[in-house]
Amino acid sequence: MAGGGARDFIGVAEPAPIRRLRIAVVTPRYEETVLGGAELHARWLAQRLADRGHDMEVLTTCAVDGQTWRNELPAGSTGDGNLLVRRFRAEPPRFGLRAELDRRLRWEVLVDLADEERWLRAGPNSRALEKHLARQGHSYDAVLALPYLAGTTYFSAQAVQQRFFLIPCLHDEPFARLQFTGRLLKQSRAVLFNSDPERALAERLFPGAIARAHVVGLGFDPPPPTDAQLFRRNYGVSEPFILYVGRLEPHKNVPLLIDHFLRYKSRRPGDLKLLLVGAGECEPPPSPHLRRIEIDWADRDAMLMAALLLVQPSTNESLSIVMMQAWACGRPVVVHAAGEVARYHCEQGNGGLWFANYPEFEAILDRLHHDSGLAHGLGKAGQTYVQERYSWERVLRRLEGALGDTGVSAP
Amino acid sequence: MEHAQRPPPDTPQPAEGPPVLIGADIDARALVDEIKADVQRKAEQGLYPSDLLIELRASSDPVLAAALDVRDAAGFSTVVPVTRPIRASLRYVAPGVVLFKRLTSKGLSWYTKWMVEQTHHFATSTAAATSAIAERLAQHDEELARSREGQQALERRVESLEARLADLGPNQQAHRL
Repeated sequence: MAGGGARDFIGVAEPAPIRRLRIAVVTPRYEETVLGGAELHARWLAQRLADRGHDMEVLTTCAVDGQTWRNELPAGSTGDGNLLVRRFRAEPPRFGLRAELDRRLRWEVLVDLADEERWLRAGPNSRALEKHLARQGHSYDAVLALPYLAGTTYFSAQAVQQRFFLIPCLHDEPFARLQFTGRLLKQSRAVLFNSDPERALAERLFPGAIARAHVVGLGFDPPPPTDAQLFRRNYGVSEPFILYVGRLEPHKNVPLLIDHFLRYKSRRPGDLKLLLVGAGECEPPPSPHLRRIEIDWADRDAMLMAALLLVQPSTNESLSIVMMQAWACGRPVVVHAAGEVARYHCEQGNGGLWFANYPEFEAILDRLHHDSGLAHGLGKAGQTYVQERYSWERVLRRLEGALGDTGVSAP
Repeated sequence: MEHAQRPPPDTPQPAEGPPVLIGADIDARALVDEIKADVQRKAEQGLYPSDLLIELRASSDPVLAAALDVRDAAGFSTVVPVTRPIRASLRYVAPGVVLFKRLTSKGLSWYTKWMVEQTHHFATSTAAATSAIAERLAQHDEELARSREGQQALERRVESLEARLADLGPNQQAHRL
């Protein structure tokens, strides 16, 4: 398999920066209030590439709400800093058809590519966006699209095959095994992964499908000076706490985390609490040991710094933004052993520990709760890992190197 | 507390070699191995309650894990949850929809109750059966392991006897026999 030339892990030479490019980023939603992982990824990447001097455009839909996909924002072009945002009307979602196909896909009932395409059409997609790409696609040096599961991504690939670069944000789920995923990987001029395990998963699922693969990832800034005590005062949190940040959903393993923590509290009475931050259908049971809070995102870093540690129980991540943010703040993380990506980062960076069952969870919490030196050491190692591998400078150079490696150059 | 220290770095990484590990003086893998060994030691000493011991066994025994899943999923309820529709497009008709759903679920509950009871009985029986099968399999595995050990000990004994026999001369062998 080709590729790999842009990997810049320590000790490996990076390619020289390439010329100013005209790049489009395709994402199903683009708005400051949208906090989905892929959408954040798209927004941050587009903004940083624009700051670096590239001629950037974001191609997105008028939708904001990921449940209704209603066109809430006006179609047309607007500016966001030094990049251009082109919004196109999303097709009306067909919830019934999507749910029916969704059931069949999840239960692995045989479906063909046409069914899969109907499923993608029934979700977030925009024919107007595709028309724009079909007409104007040749004017871009590269079209980066994410995530693999969005109709906007799949149909963009059909519109601009030669200039299409996929940022899959792939994790192991039934959809990852479908034919359209393999087709997307195959059609991409290069696939830009977030981590090595994500790349390995894609190569395992679709051997030989990827022409060029690069691990690029997403960048993280060191947090500005922040007062953790201010967070405690503002949100009335006086006790030590461990933290979960993300969607409160079963597929993120939140029920398991709640179960493990309540068992921990039944065996270790004390003032340690679990703070849950995020929206979703998992309503924590009434308990003095659990607290669900909503925060102003400006307080995110202060909250992370105030936490004893961050728990990432999800086994479905392609990068885990919040884990990187916790490390950027110097806090250790505890992850599920079955989460390949999160565990990989912990193994590589020595910034966290992993558990496979409750007794291990208990033992890890005991150690980190009572040994602040260890917690501090893990947090510092994680911080170094983020600085060394996921600084914006590194990430952008990897991305530019990956584009240059495929022969993309300014017109 | 002493933490697992990283071993000293050996030869420098080649330019295209595997990624270099980061982390000044902590080895997360070694720490997790320590924790696993600690958990194992406590389990062997019986320091965990029985439910934790079973769970611990299940983490390395897929049959037991599946049996526990069946057990956990064996509870059914006749109560059908009625949630408020969340779609904005149904905002004005939502109270009526909720009322309709409540009445329908209450009406249906009377009829479905008996079926749910049968299902519940079937599920608890299935859970009991799978638990028994898992238990029996575990016993067989233990017996098999013991038999293997015994067989290996016998094989070693036979080998040693054959070696001793070979050391003896033909006359002595005949005499012994």
